Amino acid sequence: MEKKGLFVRESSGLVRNLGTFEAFSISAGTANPALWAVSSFVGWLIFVYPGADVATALTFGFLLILLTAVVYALFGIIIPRTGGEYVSIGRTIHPAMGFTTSWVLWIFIMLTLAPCMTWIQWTLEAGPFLAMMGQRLHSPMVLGWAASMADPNVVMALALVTIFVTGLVMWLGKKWVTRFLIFIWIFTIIGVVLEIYLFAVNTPATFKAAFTSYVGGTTSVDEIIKIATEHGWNPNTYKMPPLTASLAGIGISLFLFNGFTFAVDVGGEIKNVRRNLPIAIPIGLAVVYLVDVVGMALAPKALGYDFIYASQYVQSIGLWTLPSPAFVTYFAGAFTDNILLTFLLGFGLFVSLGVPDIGLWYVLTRLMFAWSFDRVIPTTFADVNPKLHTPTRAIVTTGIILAGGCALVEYTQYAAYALNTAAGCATVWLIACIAAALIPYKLKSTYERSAGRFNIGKVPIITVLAIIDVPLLAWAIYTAMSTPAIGPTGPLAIAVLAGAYLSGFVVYYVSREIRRRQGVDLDLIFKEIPPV
Amino acid sequence: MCNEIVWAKGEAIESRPRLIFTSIRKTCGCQDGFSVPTTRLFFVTDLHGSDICFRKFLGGARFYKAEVLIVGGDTTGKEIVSLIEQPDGSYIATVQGRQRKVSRKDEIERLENEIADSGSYPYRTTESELTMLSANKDKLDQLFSRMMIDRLEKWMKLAEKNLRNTSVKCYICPGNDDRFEIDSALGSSDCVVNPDQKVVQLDEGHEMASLGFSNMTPWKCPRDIPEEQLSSKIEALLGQVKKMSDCVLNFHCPPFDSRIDVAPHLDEQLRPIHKRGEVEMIPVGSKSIRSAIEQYQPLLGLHGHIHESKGFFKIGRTSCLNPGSEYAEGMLRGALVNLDDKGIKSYMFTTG
Repeated sequence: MEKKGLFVRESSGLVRNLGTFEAFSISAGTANPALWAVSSFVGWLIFVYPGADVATALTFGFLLILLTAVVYALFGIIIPRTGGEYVSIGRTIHPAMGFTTSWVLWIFIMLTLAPCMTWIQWTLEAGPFLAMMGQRLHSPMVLGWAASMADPNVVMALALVTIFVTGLVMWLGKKWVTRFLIFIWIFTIIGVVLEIYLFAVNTPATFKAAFTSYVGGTTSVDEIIKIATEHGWNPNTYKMPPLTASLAGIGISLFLFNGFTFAVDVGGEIKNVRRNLPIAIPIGLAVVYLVDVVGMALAPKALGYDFIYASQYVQSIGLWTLPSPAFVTYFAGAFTDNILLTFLLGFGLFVSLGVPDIGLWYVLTRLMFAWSFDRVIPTTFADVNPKLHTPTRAIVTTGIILAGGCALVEYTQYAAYALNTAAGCATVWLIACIAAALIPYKLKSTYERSAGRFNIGKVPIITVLAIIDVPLLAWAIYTAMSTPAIGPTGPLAIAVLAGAYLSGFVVYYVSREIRRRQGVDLDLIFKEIPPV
Repeated sequence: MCNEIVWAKGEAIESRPRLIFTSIRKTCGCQDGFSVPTTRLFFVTDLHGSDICFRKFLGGARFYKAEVLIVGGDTTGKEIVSLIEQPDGSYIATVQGRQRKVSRKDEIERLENEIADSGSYPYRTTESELTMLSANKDKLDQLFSRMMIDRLEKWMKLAEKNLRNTSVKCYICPGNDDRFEIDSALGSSDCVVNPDQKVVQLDEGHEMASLGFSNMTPWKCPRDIPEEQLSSKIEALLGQVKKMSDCVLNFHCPPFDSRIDVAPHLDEQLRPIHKRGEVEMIPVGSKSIRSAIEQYQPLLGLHGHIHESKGFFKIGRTSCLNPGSEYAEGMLRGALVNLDDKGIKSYMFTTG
């Protein structure tokens, strides 16, 4: 007897296998990895909203997105099924909407993965890593490699290698994915701990003293500030009041955590969802926030706010001459002359994007799998290699499309003019929130039986939270579509987003017509059967 | 004369009157180029006592216009949830980890229905009986059997009420979790056939061979048997099939290493084994079933047993399906399969 009055007989059926750690890793690991987040966000925010306190902006963004995280966790508890938005929105609103939403998510994940594997991975991560090593080793050759990370042909070639290696790991199956992730996690954690330590024990004065020798005497902190000033930069003129600037930065900061919802995509495999989904999604988000906010709060204190701002300014006007982009992790390398520590710091930054690379690719193939199972797309994408037990066709297809995406990123300006990933993802969150608000009424019996049934009086808490969240997410979409610092804002960006939704509906309804002729109706996939 | 559903041009299942293209049941063959003479199966599995899932299963005949309904095994529940009588006449029960107190008759019945819908057996009892049941495994076993049989007898009456005077065929097969005592309950209605270890005729062109037994599981369930015995039973059963290429196998256990048989690797204490931070997943299906499918190459394999291993897998020309199960949440997972004279015309997984 497990609990008073509950008798359980010996029977089979232990099937949910993802525990707290795995569920947590999926969400927290795919949300921005700390070294990359700290490196990219600090300079970005200070440059776009000068005067903003980075930690304050991040905290406000976190608190706003936390509401969405709680709604997602409750949604996942009520419908704990693999397939994420595809299943939950499909069941609550309509299969066409469920498919289209997940289709849009798939497109935007794909279009996010392409920059991740090209200029982010190589120009913005490998570049600083090689520059740090080149400077410490006094090696012109390594510094030359760092400089070549800005060459589109070199980056494209390396992106194809990245796709091949990542695809190969996915192809080889779960054990290799786990090994790969553990390897990445170890170096990412070492790197972030080291970076936080170096920021915590140093000051702008020690940085100023170390920087000139770090960059081989080619420039100095004062020189960079001087160049900026000579070209129109004046921190006192540009700086907004701190609170105003910090509040303005919320729009950027809430998108930093993109990926926190991914545990719902494997909800059907998570044990004790009532406990583990809240740990995976809201608490996972909180852990990511805490790691990020510590690094972001310490970076300006160690490097100097004005120096970060000036370095971004010099970079923006094309006068940045150092072999690495103006990243705080690159600057952190000045605090140590130990080659091993420099390597660990730089390598931690370089590999930190490997977790979302794998995680995003994993979600892409899972979505294709779910659609293929339901026969919305050809069943060939659900084919599994009998020896490796991996969906090789879905993996290869993803890799080929991804290679095309990488070429678009490197050789065209589509990412700059058309791809507003933040807005795309926020629309998915918004539709999921609407579905979450409706679930107690549309799927009444499912809600009543679920472990996620929490009411205030007779009003379901999920409905209350989702209703509060809907206008906030609508504001987030508006912010994303109207703030150039977040993503492209023009008619083309809007057309791409609208086109993504339109194409989803077209694919669904064409597929439905084909299946109708074969005698099955896709509209009935999730339709609840009236019980006799 | 045949008894087939014919679909009008461009139409499949939808039956709302406002639509132009509605399905019509005819008693003759094709009349236009778009009509398809088909037998539609609605297959579900692993209901594990869920009342709501069984009522949806019966509703599926009308909802999906299915001509053949099949339950692929594991019909009985796993838990008894006690409603413990209190001195004030109310009852206290622990449901999904939460203690619930009910007093009024309608409240008590609603809670009992909720428990039954999740697949468990509600049982009104007293503190003293509870103590006795906790200490006496035989009495508890008897109580389980009684409740399983009562639930199935109720289901048989429900099936009779809804299927009598229709042409729908209904097959309910036991699975490895089901005790042998329930077979009498499954045979108590002439509207429902227990097809276990038999070959039955689904339509003019298709037979179905059913087997509820499974290879050994860590839980040593009532119908778990060693692979050698399973192989003998399969051989005896398939020997009765007239035309293997048109035969449907309704085998509760999936074939080994087929992606629809993936479950956590367990240690001796039945705890999942972790390797490098992940639960190790292994194929747990039957090698005998795999071997039989490879050898005989039937048309279709309908399987269950592993709830989260929903999927489709081909072994040679044989398509194997496992729709999975979500009985505890009251969601009925199923597979609709349209069979025609050429084989499997189409299939679709459903979650209703």
